Amino acid sequence: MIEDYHDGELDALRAAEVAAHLRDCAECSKELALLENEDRVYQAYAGRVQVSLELPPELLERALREKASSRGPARRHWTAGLFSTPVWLRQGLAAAFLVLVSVTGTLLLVRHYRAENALSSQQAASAVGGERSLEAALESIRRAEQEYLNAIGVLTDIIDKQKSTLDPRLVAELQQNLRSIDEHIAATRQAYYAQPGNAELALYMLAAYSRKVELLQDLAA
Amino acid sequence: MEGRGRAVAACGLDRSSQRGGLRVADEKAPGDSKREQEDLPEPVVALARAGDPEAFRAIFRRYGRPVLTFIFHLVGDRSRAEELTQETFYRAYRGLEGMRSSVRLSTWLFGVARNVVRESMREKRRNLREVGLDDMTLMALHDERAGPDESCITDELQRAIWRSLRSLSEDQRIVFVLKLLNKMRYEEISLITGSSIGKLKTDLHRARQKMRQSLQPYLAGRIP
Repeated sequence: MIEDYHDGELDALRAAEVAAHLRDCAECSKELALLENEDRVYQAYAGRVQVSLELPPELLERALREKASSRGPARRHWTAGLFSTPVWLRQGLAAAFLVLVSVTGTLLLVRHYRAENALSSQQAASAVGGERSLEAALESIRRAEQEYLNAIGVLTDIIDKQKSTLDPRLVAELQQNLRSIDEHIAATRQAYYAQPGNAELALYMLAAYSRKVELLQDLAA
Repeated sequence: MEGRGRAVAACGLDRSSQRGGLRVADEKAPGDSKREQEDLPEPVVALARAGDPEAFRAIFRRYGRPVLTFIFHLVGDRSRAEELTQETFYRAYRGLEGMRSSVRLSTWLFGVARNVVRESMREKRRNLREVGLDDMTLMALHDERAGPDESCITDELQRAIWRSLRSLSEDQRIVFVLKLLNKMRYEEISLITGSSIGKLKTDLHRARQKMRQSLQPYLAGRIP
Protein backbone atom coordinates (compact mmCIF):
# COMPACT_ATOMS: atom_id res chain seq x y z
CA MET A 1 0.00 0.00 0.00
CA ILE A 2 2.85 2.41 0.81
CA GLU A 3 4.43 1.61 -2.55
CA ASP A 4 1.17 2.32 -4.36
CA TYR A 5 0.86 5.56 -2.40
CA HIS A 6 4.40 6.54 -3.31
CA ASP A 7 3.85 5.62 -6.96
CA GLY A 8 0.69 7.71 -7.19
CA GLU A 9 -1.43 4.65 -7.95
CA LEU A 10 -4.10 5.19 -5.29
CA ASP A 11 -7.35 7.04 -5.77
CA ALA A 12 -7.87 10.22 -3.75
CA LEU A 13 -9.79 8.51 -0.95
CA ARG A 14 -7.25 5.74 -0.41
CA ALA A 15 -4.38 8.20 -0.69
CA ALA A 16 -5.96 10.35 2.04
CA GLU A 17 -6.34 7.29 4.28
CA VAL A 18 -2.69 6.38 3.82
CA ALA A 19 -1.62 9.97 4.43
CA ALA A 20 -3.58 9.94 7.69
CA HIS A 21 -2.00 6.65 8.68
CA LEU A 22 1.46 7.98 7.94
CA ARG A 23 0.96 10.71 10.52
CA ASP A 24 0.74 8.09 13.26
CA CYS A 25 2.99 5.31 11.99
CA ALA A 26 6.72 5.83 12.19
CA GLU A 27 7.45 2.52 10.51
CA CYS A 28 5.40 3.31 7.40
CA SER A 29 6.81 6.83 7.29
CA LYS A 30 10.29 5.38 7.31
CA GLU A 31 9.40 3.05 4.46
CA LEU A 32 8.02 5.96 2.45
CA ALA A 33 11.23 7.90 3.08
CA LEU A 34 13.24 4.94 1.81
CA LEU A 35 11.16 4.73 -1.35
CA GLU A 36 11.47 8.43 -2.04
CA ASN A 37 15.20 8.45 -1.56
CA GLU A 38 15.68 5.39 -3.72
CA ASP A 39 13.49 6.99 -6.35
CA ARG A 40 15.79 10.01 -6.53
CA VAL A 41 18.75 7.71 -7.09
CA TYR A 42 16.92 5.77 -9.80
CA GLN A 43 15.85 8.99 -11.50
CA ALA A 44 19.45 10.19 -11.52
CA TYR A 45 20.45 6.83 -12.97
CA ALA A 46 17.75 7.02 -15.64
CA GLY A 47 18.87 10.52 -16.59
CA ARG A 48 22.41 9.32 -17.18
CA VAL A 49 21.51 6.25 -19.18
CA GLN A 50 20.53 8.23 -22.20
CA VAL A 51 22.23 8.53 -25.50
CA SER A 52 22.09 10.84 -28.42
CA LEU A 53 20.46 8.81 -31.11
CA GLU A 54 20.08 9.92 -34.70
CA LEU A 55 17.35 8.54 -36.90
CA PRO A 56 19.13 6.81 -39.77
CA PRO A 57 17.62 8.29 -42.97
CA GLU A 58 17.64 4.91 -44.72
CA LEU A 59 15.33 3.53 -42.02
CA LEU A 60 12.45 5.80 -43.08
CA GLU A 61 13.27 5.44 -46.75
CA ARG A 62 13.07 1.66 -46.45
CA ALA A 63 9.77 1.88 -44.58
CA LEU A 64 8.39 4.38 -47.12
CA ARG A 65 9.38 2.24 -50.07
CA GLU A 66 7.91 -0.95 -48.64
CA LYS A 67 4.78 0.82 -47.52
CA ALA A 68 4.26 2.34 -50.97
CA SER A 69 4.80 -0.97 -52.72
CA SER A 70 2.33 -2.71 -50.42
CA ARG A 71 -0.38 -0.31 -51.64
CA GLY A 72 -0.10 -1.34 -55.27
CA PRO A 73 1.36 0.55 -58.19
CA ALA A 74 3.44 3.53 -57.23
CA ARG A 75 1.62 6.81 -57.58
CA ARG A 76 2.66 8.99 -60.46
CA HIS A 77 5.16 11.63 -59.42
CA TRP A 78 3.57 15.03 -59.04
CA THR A 79 5.72 16.51 -61.78
CA ALA A 80 4.61 13.88 -64.28
CA GLY A 81 1.69 15.87 -65.68
CA LEU A 82 3.15 19.30 -65.10
CA PHE A 83 3.95 20.06 -68.69
CA SER A 84 0.55 19.04 -69.97
CA THR A 85 -1.17 21.68 -67.87
CA PRO A 86 -2.07 25.19 -69.02
CA VAL A 87 0.60 27.85 -68.73
CA TRP A 88 -1.29 29.95 -66.21
CA LEU A 89 -1.78 26.89 -63.98
CA ARG A 90 1.89 26.04 -64.21
CA GLN A 91 2.66 29.58 -63.12
CA GLY A 92 0.36 29.19 -60.14
CA LEU A 93 2.00 25.95 -59.15
CA ALA A 94 5.45 27.41 -59.57
CA ALA A 95 4.40 30.21 -57.24
CA ALA A 96 3.19 27.66 -54.71
CA PHE A 97 6.50 25.83 -54.96
CA LEU A 98 8.43 29.04 -54.43
CA VAL A 99 6.34 29.74 -51.36
CA LEU A 100 7.17 26.30 -50.00
CA VAL A 101 10.90 26.92 -50.52
CA SER A 102 10.63 30.33 -48.95
CA VAL A 103 8.73 29.00 -45.95
CA THR A 104 11.18 26.18 -45.43
CA GLY A 105 13.96 28.76 -45.35
CA THR A 106 11.96 30.89 -42.98
CA LEU A 107 11.37 27.97 -40.67
CA LEU A 108 15.07 27.26 -40.61
CA LEU A 109 15.60 30.88 -39.63
CA VAL A 110 13.07 30.54 -36.83
CA ARG A 111 14.79 27.41 -35.54
CA HIS A 112 18.16 29.11 -35.79
CA TYR A 113 16.85 32.10 -33.87
CA ARG A 114 15.48 29.84 -31.14
CA ALA A 115 18.65 27.80 -30.91
CA GLU A 116 20.65 30.98 -30.54
CA ASN A 117 18.37 32.17 -27.79
CA ALA A 118 18.70 28.87 -25.99
CA LEU A 119 22.46 29.05 -26.12
CA SER A 120 22.98 32.02 -23.88
CA SER A 121 21.01 34.61 -22.08
CA GLN A 122 23.87 37.01 -22.74
CA GLN A 123 22.64 37.32 -26.27
CA ALA A 124 19.63 39.19 -25.01
CA ALA A 125 20.96 42.30 -26.68
CA SER A 126 20.24 40.75 -30.05
CA ALA A 127 16.78 39.66 -28.98
CA VAL A 128 15.09 42.75 -30.39
CA GLY A 129 16.43 41.96 -33.84
CA GLY A 130 15.51 38.32 -33.27
CA GLU A 131 11.98 39.23 -32.36
CA ARG A 132 11.74 41.19 -35.60
CA SER A 133 12.99 38.10 -37.45
CA LEU A 134 10.41 36.01 -35.69
CA GLU A 135 7.63 38.42 -36.58
CA ALA A 136 8.79 38.38 -40.19
CA ALA A 137 8.81 34.59 -40.11
CA LEU A 138 5.28 34.44 -38.72
CA GLU A 139 4.11 36.89 -41.38
CA SER A 140 5.77 34.77 -44.03
CA ILE A 141 3.98 31.67 -42.75
CA ARG A 142 0.65 33.54 -42.87
CA ARG A 143 1.40 34.58 -46.46
CA ALA A 144 2.38 31.05 -47.39
CA GLU A 145 -0.86 29.71 -45.99
CA GLN A 146 -2.75 32.27 -48.08
CA GLU A 147 -0.81 31.28 -51.20
CA TYR A 148 -1.71 27.66 -50.63
CA LEU A 149 -5.36 28.57 -50.13
CA ASN A 150 -5.28 30.52 -53.39
CA ALA A 151 -3.68 27.61 -55.25
CA ILE A 152 -6.21 25.20 -53.76
CA GLY A 153 -9.03 27.50 -54.83
CA VAL A 154 -7.79 27.67 -58.43
CA LEU A 155 -7.22 23.93 -58.68
CA THR A 156 -10.56 23.11 -57.09
CA ASP A 157 -12.33 25.27 -59.69
CA ILE A 158 -10.58 23.44 -62.51
CA ILE A 159 -11.48 20.04 -61.11
CA ASP A 160 -15.07 21.05 -60.44
CA LYS A 161 -15.41 21.93 -64.13
CA GLN A 162 -13.97 18.55 -65.12
CA LYS A 163 -15.99 16.53 -62.65
CA SER A 164 -18.81 15.66 -65.06
CA THR A 165 -16.29 14.02 -67.39
CA LEU A 166 -14.61 12.00 -64.67
CA ASP A 167 -15.33 8.45 -63.56
CA PRO A 168 -17.77 8.70 -60.61
CA ARG A 169 -15.67 6.19 -58.66
CA LEU A 170 -12.63 8.42 -59.11
CA VAL A 171 -14.63 11.42 -57.97
CA ALA A 172 -15.80 9.53 -54.87
CA GLU A 173 -12.24 8.48 -54.08
CA LEU A 174 -11.04 12.03 -54.60
CA GLN A 175 -13.67 13.37 -52.26
CA GLN A 176 -12.74 10.83 -49.62
CA ASN A 177 -9.03 11.70 -49.90
CA LEU A 178 -9.79 15.39 -49.79
CA ARG A 179 -11.92 14.95 -46.67
CA SER A 180 -9.04 13.15 -44.99
CA ILE A 181 -6.53 15.84 -45.98
CA ASP A 182 -8.95 18.57 -44.93
CA GLU A 183 -9.20 16.97 -41.50
CA HIS A 184 -5.41 17.00 -41.25
CA ILE A 185 -5.31 20.60 -42.35
CA ALA A 186 -7.92 21.57 -39.78
CA ALA A 187 -6.11 19.69 -36.99
CA THR A 188 -2.66 21.01 -37.82
CA ARG A 189 -4.04 24.51 -38.31
CA GLN A 190 -5.71 24.40 -34.91
CA ALA A 191 -2.48 23.18 -33.30
CA TYR A 192 -0.39 25.83 -35.02
CA TYR A 193 -2.68 28.74 -34.19
CA ALA A 194 -2.77 27.60 -30.58
CA GLN A 195 1.03 28.00 -30.57
CA PRO A 196 1.77 30.44 -33.41
CA GLY A 197 5.47 30.62 -32.55
CA ASN A 198 5.97 26.90 -32.98
CA ALA A 199 7.91 26.43 -36.21
CA GLU A 200 7.44 22.68 -36.27
CA LEU A 201 3.67 22.96 -36.07
CA ALA A 202 3.81 25.50 -38.89
CA LEU A 203 5.75 22.99 -40.92
CA TYR A 204 3.12 20.30 -40.33
CA MET A 205 0.34 22.69 -41.28
CA LEU A 206 2.04 23.79 -44.48
CA ALA A 207 2.91 20.19 -45.30
CA ALA A 208 -0.78 19.34 -45.03
CA TYR A 209 -1.65 22.19 -47.41
CA SER A 210 1.12 21.07 -49.72
CA ARG A 211 -0.30 17.55 -49.83
CA LYS A 212 -3.67 18.90 -50.85
CA VAL A 213 -2.14 21.03 -53.61
CA GLU A 214 -0.22 17.99 -54.81
CA LEU A 215 -3.33 15.82 -54.92
CA LEU A 216 -5.37 18.45 -56.76
CA GLN A 217 -2.57 19.19 -59.20
CA ASP A 218 -2.17 15.50 -59.90
CA LEU A 219 -5.83 15.22 -60.79
CA ALA A 220 -6.06 18.49 -62.70
CA ALA A 221 -3.07 17.52 -64.83
CA MET B 1 33.46 1.44 0.57
CA GLU B 2 34.81 4.90 1.16
CA GLY B 3 33.43 7.28 -1.36
CA ARG B 4 30.18 5.46 -1.71
CA GLY B 5 28.52 7.93 0.60
CA ARG B 6 29.62 10.69 -1.69
CA ALA B 7 28.03 8.79 -4.53
CA VAL B 8 24.65 10.05 -3.52
CA ALA B 9 25.61 13.17 -1.66
CA ALA B 10 24.51 15.48 -4.43
CA CYS B 11 21.22 13.69 -4.99
CA GLY B 12 19.39 15.47 -2.23
CA LEU B 13 18.96 12.25 -0.33
CA ASP B 14 18.92 14.18 2.91
CA ARG B 15 16.67 16.97 1.66
CA SER B 16 13.75 15.58 3.55
CA SER B 17 12.98 17.03 6.93
CA GLN B 18 11.71 15.61 10.17
CA ARG B 19 8.63 17.00 11.83
CA GLY B 20 7.45 15.66 15.16
CA GLY B 21 9.54 12.53 14.77
CA LEU B 22 8.09 11.78 11.38
CA ARG B 23 9.84 12.30 8.11
CA VAL B 24 7.98 14.67 5.90
CA ALA B 25 8.63 14.36 2.21
CA ASP B 26 9.25 17.33 -0.07
CA GLU B 27 6.16 19.39 -0.66
CA LYS B 28 4.91 17.69 -3.80
CA ALA B 29 2.40 14.90 -3.40
CA PRO B 30 3.33 11.33 -4.25
CA GLY B 31 3.16 10.70 -7.95
CA ASP B 32 3.10 14.39 -8.85
CA SER B 33 6.27 14.32 -10.89
CA LYS B 34 5.52 10.96 -12.40
CA ARG B 35 3.55 11.84 -15.46
CA GLU B 36 6.34 12.65 -17.83
CA GLN B 37 5.28 10.39 -20.67
CA GLU B 38 3.53 13.18 -22.53
CA ASP B 39 2.38 12.20 -25.95
CA LEU B 40 2.93 14.42 -28.95
CA PRO B 41 0.07 16.67 -30.15
CA GLU B 42 -2.65 14.66 -31.85
CA PRO B 43 -2.14 16.36 -35.25
CA VAL B 44 1.48 15.21 -35.32
CA VAL B 45 0.43 11.64 -34.58
CA ALA B 46 -2.33 11.88 -37.19
CA LEU B 47 0.15 13.08 -39.81
CA ALA B 48 2.55 10.28 -38.93
CA ARG B 49 -0.28 7.79 -39.27
CA ALA B 50 -0.95 9.20 -42.71
CA GLY B 51 2.67 8.43 -43.59
CA ASP B 52 4.27 11.86 -43.14
CA PRO B 53 8.01 11.19 -42.61
CA GLU B 54 8.61 14.53 -40.87
CA ALA B 55 5.90 13.81 -38.32
CA PHE B 56 7.36 10.38 -37.76
CA ARG B 57 10.76 11.93 -37.19
CA ALA B 58 9.14 14.01 -34.46
CA ILE B 59 7.89 10.78 -32.89
CA PHE B 60 11.37 9.33 -33.07
CA ARG B 61 12.87 12.45 -31.51
CA ARG B 62 10.37 12.22 -28.65
CA TYR B 63 10.53 8.49 -27.95
CA GLY B 64 13.80 7.28 -29.49
CA ARG B 65 15.83 7.60 -26.32
CA PRO B 66 13.27 6.19 -23.84
CA VAL B 67 12.70 3.22 -26.14
CA LEU B 68 16.43 2.68 -26.56
CA THR B 69 16.92 2.83 -22.79
CA PHE B 70 14.11 0.31 -22.28
CA ILE B 71 15.55 -2.08 -24.85
CA PHE B 72 19.07 -1.62 -23.54
CA HIS B 73 17.98 -2.74 -20.10
CA LEU B 74 16.42 -5.83 -21.58
CA VAL B 75 19.23 -6.94 -23.86
CA GLY B 76 22.27 -5.53 -22.03
CA ASP B 77 24.19 -4.63 -25.15
CA ARG B 78 24.36 -1.22 -26.69
CA SER B 79 24.84 -2.04 -30.35
CA ARG B 80 22.13 -4.68 -30.19
CA ALA B 81 19.85 -2.24 -28.40
CA GLU B 82 20.38 0.33 -31.17
CA GLU B 83 19.69 -2.29 -33.79
CA LEU B 84 16.47 -3.36 -32.08
CA THR B 85 15.44 0.27 -31.58
CA GLN B 86 15.77 0.78 -35.31
CA GLU B 87 13.70 -2.31 -35.92
CA THR B 88 11.11 -1.05 -33.43
CA PHE B 89 10.69 2.28 -35.21
CA TYR B 90 10.74 0.67 -38.61
CA ARG B 91 7.86 -1.59 -37.57
CA ALA B 92 6.14 1.31 -35.86
CA TYR B 93 6.23 3.39 -39.01
CA ARG B 94 4.78 0.59 -41.04
CA GLY B 95 2.16 -0.33 -38.47
CA LEU B 96 1.18 3.09 -37.15
CA GLU B 97 -1.93 3.22 -39.32
CA GLY B 98 -3.24 0.13 -37.53
CA MET B 99 -2.73 1.55 -34.03
CA ARG B 100 -6.00 1.76 -32.13
CA SER B 101 -6.83 5.37 -31.39
CA SER B 102 -7.77 4.47 -27.80
CA VAL B 103 -4.17 3.45 -27.07
CA ARG B 104 -1.53 6.02 -26.15
CA LEU B 105 1.25 6.27 -28.67
CA SER B 106 3.94 5.72 -26.03
CA THR B 107 2.22 2.57 -24.74
CA TRP B 108 1.89 1.23 -28.24
CA LEU B 109 5.53 2.00 -29.09
CA PHE B 110 6.86 0.27 -25.97
CA GLY B 111 4.64 -2.69 -26.82
CA VAL B 112 6.22 -2.89 -30.28
CA ALA B 113 9.66 -2.66 -28.65
CA ARG B 114 8.75 -5.44 -26.23
CA ASN B 115 7.75 -7.71 -29.12
CA VAL B 116 10.89 -6.91 -31.07
CA VAL B 117 13.03 -7.76 -28.04
CA ARG B 118 11.09 -10.94 -27.35
CA GLU B 119 11.62 -12.16 -30.91
CA SER B 120 15.27 -11.25 -30.73
CA MET B 121 15.66 -13.13 -27.43
CA ARG B 122 14.13 -16.22 -29.00
CA GLU B 123 16.59 -15.94 -31.84
CA LYS B 124 19.43 -15.49 -29.41
CA ARG B 125 18.45 -18.55 -27.41
CA ARG B 126 18.46 -20.52 -30.60
CA ASN B 127 21.98 -19.36 -31.27
CA LEU B 128 22.94 -20.14 -27.66
CA ARG B 129 24.78 -16.89 -27.43
CA GLU B 130 24.91 -15.29 -24.05
CA VAL B 131 25.32 -11.59 -23.69
CA GLY B 132 27.38 -10.94 -20.62
CA LEU B 133 27.26 -7.99 -18.34
CA ASP B 134 29.51 -5.36 -19.73
CA ASP B 135 30.31 -2.36 -17.61
CA MET B 136 32.15 -0.79 -20.50
CA THR B 137 28.96 -0.95 -22.50
CA LEU B 138 27.19 0.95 -19.79
CA MET B 139 29.92 3.54 -19.64
CA ALA B 140 29.64 3.98 -23.37
CA LEU B 141 25.94 4.59 -22.99
CA HIS B 142 26.39 7.42 -20.55
CA ASP B 143 25.35 10.78 -21.72
CA GLU B 144 28.70 12.47 -21.80
CA ARG B 145 27.09 15.88 -21.50
CA ALA B 146 26.33 15.10 -17.87
CA GLY B 147 29.59 15.91 -16.15
CA PRO B 148 30.39 14.93 -12.59
CA ASP B 149 29.15 18.21 -11.21
CA GLU B 150 25.76 17.92 -12.86
CA SER B 151 25.16 14.28 -12.04
CA CYS B 152 23.60 13.05 -8.83
CA ILE B 153 25.38 9.73 -8.79
CA THR B 154 28.86 8.50 -9.47
CA ASP B 155 29.93 6.05 -12.11
CA GLU B 156 30.44 3.51 -9.35
CA LEU B 157 26.85 3.74 -8.17
CA GLN B 158 25.69 3.83 -11.76
CA ARG B 159 27.43 0.53 -12.43
CA ALA B 160 26.10 -0.95 -9.18
CA ILE B 161 22.52 -0.11 -10.20
CA TRP B 162 23.13 -1.59 -13.62
CA ARG B 163 24.54 -4.81 -12.17
CA SER B 164 21.64 -5.06 -9.73
CA LEU B 165 19.12 -4.53 -12.51
CA ARG B 166 20.72 -7.25 -14.56
CA SER B 167 20.36 -9.66 -11.65
CA LEU B 168 16.57 -9.24 -11.64
CA SER B 169 14.36 -11.63 -13.53
CA GLU B 170 13.20 -10.36 -16.91
CA ASP B 171 9.66 -9.68 -15.69
CA GLN B 172 10.94 -7.82 -12.65
CA ARG B 173 13.37 -5.79 -14.74
CA ILE B 174 10.70 -4.80 -17.26
CA VAL B 175 8.29 -3.50 -14.64
CA PHE B 176 11.13 -1.79 -12.78
CA VAL B 177 12.34 0.02 -15.90
CA LEU B 178 8.88 1.02 -17.10
CA LYS B 179 7.49 1.98 -13.72
CA LEU B 180 10.44 3.54 -11.93
CA LEU B 181 12.59 4.81 -14.77
CA ASN B 182 9.91 5.65 -17.34
CA LYS B 183 7.17 6.52 -14.84
CA MET B 184 4.39 4.64 -16.55
CA ARG B 185 1.14 3.63 -14.91
CA TYR B 186 0.38 0.00 -14.18
CA GLU B 187 -2.44 0.06 -16.74
CA GLU B 188 -0.01 1.04 -19.47
CA ILE B 189 2.59 -1.53 -18.40
CA SER B 190 -0.11 -4.16 -18.35
CA LEU B 191 -0.98 -3.32 -21.98
CA ILE B 192 2.67 -3.52 -22.98
CA THR B 193 3.53 -6.76 -21.19
CA GLY B 194 0.19 -8.55 -21.12
CA SER B 195 0.65 -9.19 -17.38
CA SER B 196 -2.05 -8.52 -14.82
CA ILE B 197 -1.67 -5.49 -12.58
CA GLY B 198 -1.48 -7.81 -9.55
CA LYS B 199 1.51 -9.62 -11.03
CA LEU B 200 3.16 -6.34 -11.97
CA LYS B 201 2.82 -5.08 -8.41
CA THR B 202 4.29 -8.26 -6.98
CA ASP B 203 7.18 -8.18 -9.46
CA LEU B 204 7.92 -4.55 -8.72
CA HIS B 205 7.82 -5.10 -4.97
CA ARG B 206 10.30 -7.98 -5.25
CA ALA B 207 12.48 -6.00 -7.62
CA ARG B 208 12.59 -3.10 -5.20
CA GLN B 209 13.54 -5.37 -2.32
CA LYS B 210 16.32 -6.99 -4.32
CA MET B 211 17.64 -3.64 -5.51
CA ARG B 212 17.53 -2.26 -1.99
CA GLN B 213 19.50 -5.21 -0.71
CA SER B 214 22.08 -5.00 -3.49
CA LEU B 215 22.56 -1.27 -3.20
CA GLN B 216 22.48 -1.15 0.58
CA PRO B 217 26.28 -0.74 0.86
CA TYR B 218 26.13 2.27 -1.42
CA LEU B 219 23.16 3.91 0.20
CA ALA B 220 23.94 3.09 3.84
CA GLY B 221 24.15 6.11 6.04
CA ARG B 222 22.18 8.19 3.59
CA ILE B 223 18.77 6.76 4.28
CA PRO B 224 17.00 8.53 7.12
